[in-house]
Amino acid sequence: MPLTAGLGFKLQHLDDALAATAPGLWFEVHAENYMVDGGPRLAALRALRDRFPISLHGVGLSLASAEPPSDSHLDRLKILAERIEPFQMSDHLAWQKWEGVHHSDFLPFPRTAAALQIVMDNVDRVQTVLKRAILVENPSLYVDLPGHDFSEGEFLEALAKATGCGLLLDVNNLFVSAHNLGFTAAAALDAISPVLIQEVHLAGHSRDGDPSSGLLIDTHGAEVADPVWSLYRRLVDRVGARPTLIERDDDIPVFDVLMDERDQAHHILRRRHALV
Amino acid sequence: MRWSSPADFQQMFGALLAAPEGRDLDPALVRALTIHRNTATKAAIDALADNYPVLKALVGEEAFTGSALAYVTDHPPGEPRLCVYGETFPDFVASYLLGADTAYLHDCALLERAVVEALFAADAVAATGQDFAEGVDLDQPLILHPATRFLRCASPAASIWLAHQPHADTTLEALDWAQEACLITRPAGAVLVQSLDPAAARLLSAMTAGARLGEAAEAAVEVGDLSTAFFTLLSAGAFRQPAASIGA
Repeated sequence: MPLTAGLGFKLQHLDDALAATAPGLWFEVHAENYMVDGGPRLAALRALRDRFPISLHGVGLSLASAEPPSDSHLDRLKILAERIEPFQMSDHLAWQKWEGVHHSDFLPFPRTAAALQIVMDNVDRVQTVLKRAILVENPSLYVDLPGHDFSEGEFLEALAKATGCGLLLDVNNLFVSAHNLGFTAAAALDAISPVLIQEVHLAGHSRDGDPSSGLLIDTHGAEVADPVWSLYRRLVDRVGARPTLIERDDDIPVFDVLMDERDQAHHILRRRHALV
Repeated sequence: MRWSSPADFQQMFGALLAAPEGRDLDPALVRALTIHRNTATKAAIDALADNYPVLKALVGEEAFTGSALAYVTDHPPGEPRLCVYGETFPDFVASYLLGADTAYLHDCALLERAVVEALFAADAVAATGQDFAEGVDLDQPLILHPATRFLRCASPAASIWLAHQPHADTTLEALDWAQEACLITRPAGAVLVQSLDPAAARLLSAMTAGARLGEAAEAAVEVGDLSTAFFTLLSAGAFRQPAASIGA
């Protein structure tokens, strides 16, 4: 596990990425974008993999769905993992499927004991097929649903203990959820057990287009905000270094701009390492 | 408030996402539903724009987004791989964008769909002239390369597509408005699109239908030069390397 900072890879940056020399650099891709049979996109990922460790981040396993993960989807994911040999694989604590429709976002659910059992079963199924542990990411929340038996932190901890999966802590999602639901991000962050956290995501957010809502939206279309950097420093001070990814999925700037953000995370990690 | 099971909750929430109007709901829930709906809709529309960029250029941003939004509403993604979303968009757009002369848009969209399929098709070594250096066996079954696609269009769809590529050496204005037999291949990484002359089109058409080279050649010579036709298809990487030549 590289305890360094990585970058979400975009195909338009292939040449820059292959030429990058930053120590400790690694890349992450959305697995679904590479679940194809062949062609230049896969060749690009293989070329990248020849130079850098790769993390496969799934956006479609629908781990919290009442229905289990699709066999064909899992098979394709397994094939991709065999081709790329990623150092990490992950997906989200959310559901996405409804009556044959795939909803390309991460939907919330009441964190009940029954829901926990479902997520455990789904994670078990995925880990059995892939023959490895995966990480599960905390999503962004926009409404406080009734009926929770667990806090998000408690739920993820129970899930990890039962299945052996890890936690991909998205600090931006935590910040956005805390803002939207009115809880304290720092306190929620401090409550997470260090050993569970196996990767960190940092990304940007935006204000809701409807300003009367007062909500923040997890758009991944901006640079990491200052309060999110503060939370990240707080986290690294407490738990130590973790593989940290700068995520940008919209309004993609040039490669150097993303590398500047990546370098910021890298410096925070190095400084913490040097203090030990 | 509790639902009797996670499945019940997801059924309720899914229904609200799909049909939001006319409910007496907490405004905070309504706003959250809107955010989730907008995020998913945008992702699906962006995927259509990625897969149909020439269509988008032809009809313009507003018309494209309007038809994309209608399509996403009526035919939302059925699986997480957005990179392959929109298989039925060409047919949808043809009926959605009513008016005279939209048939060429349908052709262009079908061609773009074929380009997407070619882009993601399985890797295989393409047959080249070298594989036939010892001569051509007319009984030889030649298998199409996994990325090969062929469409007969009433409009010059291949030329329209080519005019929209970076470093294009033709423009729409200079186009001869005539039917085209469009070949899509992927000989060495990048997708190639070209319009075939009648002999090459017949040759490929017959072989796609299962004819051996000899039979297909008979159809091709009626309308043109056979070796030119065969050479065109080989240079385009239309066929897989024959098994006999592997290791030869």
